[in-house]
Amino acid sequence: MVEPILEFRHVGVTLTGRDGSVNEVSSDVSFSLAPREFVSIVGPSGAGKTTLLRTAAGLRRPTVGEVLFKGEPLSDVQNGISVVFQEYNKSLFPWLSIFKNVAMGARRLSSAERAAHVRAALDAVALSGFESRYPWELSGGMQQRAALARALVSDPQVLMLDEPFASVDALTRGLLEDVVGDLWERSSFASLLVTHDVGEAVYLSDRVLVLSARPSRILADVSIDLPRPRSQGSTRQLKRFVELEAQVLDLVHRAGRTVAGESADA
Amino acid sequence: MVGGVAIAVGVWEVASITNVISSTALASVNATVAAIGAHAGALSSAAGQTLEAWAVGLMVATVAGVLLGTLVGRSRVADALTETLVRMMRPLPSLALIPIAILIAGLGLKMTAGLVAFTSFWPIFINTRYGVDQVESLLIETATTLGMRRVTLVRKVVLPAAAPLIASGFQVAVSLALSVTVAVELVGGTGGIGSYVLAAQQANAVANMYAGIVVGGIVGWMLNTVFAVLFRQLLPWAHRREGSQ
Repeated sequence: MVEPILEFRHVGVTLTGRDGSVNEVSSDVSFSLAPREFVSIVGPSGAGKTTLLRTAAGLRRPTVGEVLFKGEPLSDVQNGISVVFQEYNKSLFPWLSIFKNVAMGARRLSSAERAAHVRAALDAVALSGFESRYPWELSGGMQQRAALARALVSDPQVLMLDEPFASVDALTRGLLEDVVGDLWERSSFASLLVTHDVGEAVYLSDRVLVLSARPSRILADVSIDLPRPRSQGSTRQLKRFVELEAQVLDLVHRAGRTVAGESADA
Repeated sequence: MVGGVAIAVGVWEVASITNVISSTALASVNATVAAIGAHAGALSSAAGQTLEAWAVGLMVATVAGVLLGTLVGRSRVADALTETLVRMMRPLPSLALIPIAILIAGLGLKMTAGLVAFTSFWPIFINTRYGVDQVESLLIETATTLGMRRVTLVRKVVLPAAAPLIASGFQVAVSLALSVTVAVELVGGTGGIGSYVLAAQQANAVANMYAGIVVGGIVGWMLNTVFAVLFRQLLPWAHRREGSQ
């Protein structure tokens, strides 16, 4: 078996509020991500999907258990892990042009290499020609493509996506899914996607992990045996796609129902 | 804006013609304009002195305010340590400190600039502290995942993100610093527009006195305009209309 690029071992996360309130978000989460693999995490609202992704990115340490990146315990943000957040309008730097925003992702390269890498990354997300524009001059979909270019310009081994398409309209969302899917097919990074959209998870992934309600653990690990390359037009019409989507949706609904009475938070 | 100025000049002229305020206390518009023309040399050298003290004081206040504001805004410990001190020092009227300043620095530019620095430090410090503290946490996290730490993080992300608030604190300080400069000059007689106005008043040269006041007003207006335009150019994202995506 291939050595995983990222591994969660019995990870539990407990958040402590400023008022001292303690909230156990995840109790015991274990899974691994192989190199070049595309894995999604879905689950009911409040299952701590985003908290888990932040933990995977090294932005937060697990309360119990450990996260391994390339076999080493992850205790901080790492080279080789890039993150794209849902709120592109709060994650792009408004005082920098699109070119300079993307260049922020390539700070480790020499300035000569940097320009070429930034241009290539912008080209890959079809933003050539917008180098000198500012984020707030672009549409939401274009801003999220810029954020994607910034995440990929450093040629990461893992791309983490935290609800990356939740803030754009449905049409843009489909287009962005294909941008990510195509980039993933053409590159060598593994991807960990957190989403509440089951169809999106099934469409993009090799495996879909279903979280239970809070405190979450992994309820199911569903292999997505759909052919690649995939496309919005054909893949989503496949009988197998519809089956898998229904299966995962059913798991999510059941996970949400188990605690319907006790978990009031969104 | 031009309309507002015209109205003010009109009210001034009416007050002067109708003698609502006696002519020993109010010069006519014409006499004031004539005095500005006649004493252009003395007035511009007074304005130069005022601007010098203003600039030195404001520069010190800006460097200190941004540095300390950033430190306190980034550190809960520094914030807790300085909070009481800030609350005690901030309301101190700077003019009440003139005697201390004279004892420390003597009469002159150092004294004026020191008091200007003390007064204009507060709006810059407070806005920087607030601005730095309010930076969107997602922006910081994004910068962290891009490998930025400590000084780099502050320089490349925290300060630019706080820049609109720092700039508005600075704009408050620009006007405040000018008021304090002129006031200290008036009280301390250390030269500049304040001393010019005082000397004119003592010599019963009412038109000259108003000439000094008008020149002070023009200087203040110019400074405000320059920085408003400058910041609009430098910080375009801070002035865009919300919800334009």
